[in-house]
Amino acid sequence: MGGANLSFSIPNSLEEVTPACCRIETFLNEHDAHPRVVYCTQLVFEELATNIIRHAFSDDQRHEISIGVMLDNDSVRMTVEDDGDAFDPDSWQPDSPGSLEEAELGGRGLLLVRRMSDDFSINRESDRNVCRVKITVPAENKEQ
Amino acid sequence: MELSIISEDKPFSHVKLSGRLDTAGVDFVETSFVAATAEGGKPAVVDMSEVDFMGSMGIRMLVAAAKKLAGQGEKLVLLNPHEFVDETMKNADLYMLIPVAYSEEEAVTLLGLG
Repeated sequence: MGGANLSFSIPNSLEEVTPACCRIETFLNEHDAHPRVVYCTQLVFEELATNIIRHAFSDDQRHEISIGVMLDNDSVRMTVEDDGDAFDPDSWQPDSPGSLEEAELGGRGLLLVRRMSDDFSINRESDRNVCRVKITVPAENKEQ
Repeated sequence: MELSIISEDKPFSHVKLSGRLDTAGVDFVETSFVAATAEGGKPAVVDMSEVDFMGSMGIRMLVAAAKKLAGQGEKLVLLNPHEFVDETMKNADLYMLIPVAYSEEEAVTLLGLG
């Protein structure tokens, strides 16, 4: 498995998320990425893109979300960029529900992004939100 | 995303989800899933063995059904999730809120029907 890159963009429409996810899946599978890396990259992208489309834009205009996926040996580095409102991921911390009655229905997406990636950051650069994520194969999974 | 009714003759609703339980999948299947589980008037077993992807919207749908059943004093049990779907549930801190079984017999026991 060597290095390979994928770059594309999608408009801010929820209907575009699943096809984009499948495009990432196909790219990673074509380059023999580890199944867990393929799964986690799709999951992280799904959550980031859905959050951006639902919450980042305060107008009804078309916006482009740029995606970059870089596969290198056992890891994927992904960037997701948008020109929406600034977002501080540290401003949102979900509670861990103690019972089903206490559990909120939503709000688990960013938690999944943090826990199923190895590095995660969102920075404001030239009026754009630039999210960078790294996903690696855990040592215990490398023999698969 | 597909929903199959495995059996209507058991003391629990037995359904199976297949495919991607992502935002688009939830939009497609949620109404029929709620009708077949949370509105079935009895506990539910959801076979997850053919769900190959689940995001937070899928978790939201399962929790909503489990909460609705809990309000009726009934449980929802997930059966045989794929290992990465299982990991997703754990990382969403919801793993202990919705029981997971790895055989139908275990599911029946978790429902208190065994």
